[in-house]
Amino acid sequence: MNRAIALTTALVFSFAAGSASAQEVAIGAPMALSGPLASVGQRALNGLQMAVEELNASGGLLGSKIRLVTGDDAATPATANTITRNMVLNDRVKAIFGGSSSATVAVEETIAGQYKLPMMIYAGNDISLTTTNFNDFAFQMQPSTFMEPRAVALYLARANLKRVFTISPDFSFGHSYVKNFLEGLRENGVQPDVVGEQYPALGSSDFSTYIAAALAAKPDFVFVGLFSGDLVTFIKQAKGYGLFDKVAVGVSTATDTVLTLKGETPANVTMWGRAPFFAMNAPGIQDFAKRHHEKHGTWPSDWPVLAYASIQIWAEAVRKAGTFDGPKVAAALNGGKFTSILGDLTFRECDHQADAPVYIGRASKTVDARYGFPLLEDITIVDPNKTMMSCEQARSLQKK
Amino acid sequence: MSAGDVIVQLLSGLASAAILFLVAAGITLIFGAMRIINIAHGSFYMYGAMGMTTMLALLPDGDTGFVVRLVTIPILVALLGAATEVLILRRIYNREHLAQLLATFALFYIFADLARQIWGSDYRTASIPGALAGPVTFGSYTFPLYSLFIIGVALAVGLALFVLLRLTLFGWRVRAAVEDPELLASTGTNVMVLSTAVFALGAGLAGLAGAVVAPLITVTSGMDANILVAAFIVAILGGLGSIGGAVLGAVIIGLFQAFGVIWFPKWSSVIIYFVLIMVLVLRPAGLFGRVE
Repeated sequence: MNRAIALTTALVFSFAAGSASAQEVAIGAPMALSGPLASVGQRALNGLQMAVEELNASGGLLGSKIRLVTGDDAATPATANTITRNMVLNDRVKAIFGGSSSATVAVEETIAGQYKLPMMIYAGNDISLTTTNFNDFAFQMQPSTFMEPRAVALYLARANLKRVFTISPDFSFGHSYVKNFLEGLRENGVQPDVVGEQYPALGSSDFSTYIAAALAAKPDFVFVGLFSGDLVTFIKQAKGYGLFDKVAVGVSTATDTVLTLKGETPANVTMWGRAPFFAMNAPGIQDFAKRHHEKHGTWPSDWPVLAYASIQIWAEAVRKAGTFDGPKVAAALNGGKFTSILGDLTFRECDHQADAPVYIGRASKTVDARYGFPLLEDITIVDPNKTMMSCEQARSLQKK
Repeated sequence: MSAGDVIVQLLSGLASAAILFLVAAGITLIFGAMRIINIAHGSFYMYGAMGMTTMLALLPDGDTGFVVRLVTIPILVALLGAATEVLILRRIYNREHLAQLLATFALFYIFADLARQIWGSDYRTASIPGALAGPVTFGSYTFPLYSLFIIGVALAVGLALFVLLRLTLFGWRVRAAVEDPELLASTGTNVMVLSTAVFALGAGLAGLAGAVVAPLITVTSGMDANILVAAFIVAILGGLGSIGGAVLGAVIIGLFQAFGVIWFPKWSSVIIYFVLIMVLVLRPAGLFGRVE
């Protein structure tokens, strides 16, 4: 009788553990599936799911099928904390893929470090993730808020800007973005007057007063750090004020924007992005874009491209390490060069920052017949080595 | 700032105020007549906006489709509000305020999840109709024609509410419900039906606000929460239960936001809270509210 009870108990616990079976490995992806960043999360999820499906269809990884565990953190750090810990403790995930905003990624990164799990950061690029919040297990795939605005500053260095106005979301990312853009301008010998710095709340639906304030300040250039849904809202409202006809404007998340606005994208606005598939030559990127379009009825923005690549890179690291063991996979990622649909990326040992470029161009006046949205013209791919923080500076900011 | 810049900023503030008024009017009506603080009010606003982005086979496209949607969607949202009141809220009127607050809070989350099931998590957009898409120019200054349209809609709704509440039997009954619901009931008025009608009207106003603002924004989950705080501030500032207060509150908040971004840019995201606190310190029941 006692033996029967013991056997039954063991069976129950083995089912209830929520962990992967011997032939299945779980990976965790907390993300915003509700709230103002839901579009980032949903689009990234498409990329993650495609990568996992294709990986499993080709036999899995080290003989195991991969199970993607997702959770909605609503871009809220407290919720991200709960969901990510749940994934680690209940689902026994072997890696974390994050996230939707720098604020939640910071939390997920800390948990990854505590539990010694490799984390691929495909969205959320605040510089603190590779400096003050740095640990040995998180790897940043995108240009950081130190690099990206500096790339834009480098691109604009010849424009001889005298008066600059900035609009960026009111959280760590937004403030860091503007700070680094202005520093980047100064580093390139441009000393403009900053005639306005505005920080509307993330998720704002009304930018009209900010737009009017920008026009009243009469700048040469308006640097807009808003992204995704906020940026689309901003552009829709700014068009009504004639902003793009009166002032040179620069905006981020280029692909997201042109995909959404299509023919309503203002022509000639300077746009930059991290992974505009139509401008990339990396192996497999065009094929991925076509598969994404066939599966989801839409071309991929940066988020599914980055998310897909995050799985590719992690899988390659697992193969190199020969195991799913966190510290060994992290060691394989550290300083390693990896090929994905983003091209070749190498993660620096000092801060795990990948040498990810920024793509900058101007929105075309015409809609591309192949894709149904305007592409970027005269694209410059800014060399990341010209914009990365020095290892010395990064190390000085990292906690000892 | 030049005079033209001031005018543009003023109009921008009034356009913001217009949307806030449409949402806050519903909140203040519902509280005034029913003493319920409806946390799910933002959901009606979101459903109005989502409805505007939805291409239904029966509704035509273009300018005509816009008008048809603008009339249809608030009615549909009002019906949703009526159903909510009859099926759920009516059963908790006699409960303590905390229970009512929690119930509407729960509804907020249920409606949010339902919206995600129906429309997904990705953001949606609607287009400004061609007839309202251009700018209005005066000298070298430009202001969106559609924003003037929004101000016009708010003015029309404000006028209609004034006529409804001041000059009709329904309005008399609603104002009586605000003053003394028990006395009203003793006159033979079916207070339950009146409550349903008021709740539906409030929901419909929020739905109209969402439908009107949809072409100017990306419509996404989360917009229910974003509008709620500002709309409640306007309703409380004006005095819960007072439509006139909602008008004045919306204008004050809209203009403080508009000029606050210029004069106090570092504080622009919190300026409305300063205004609220200042008013409540001087008038605890709001500008036109009464201490109960």
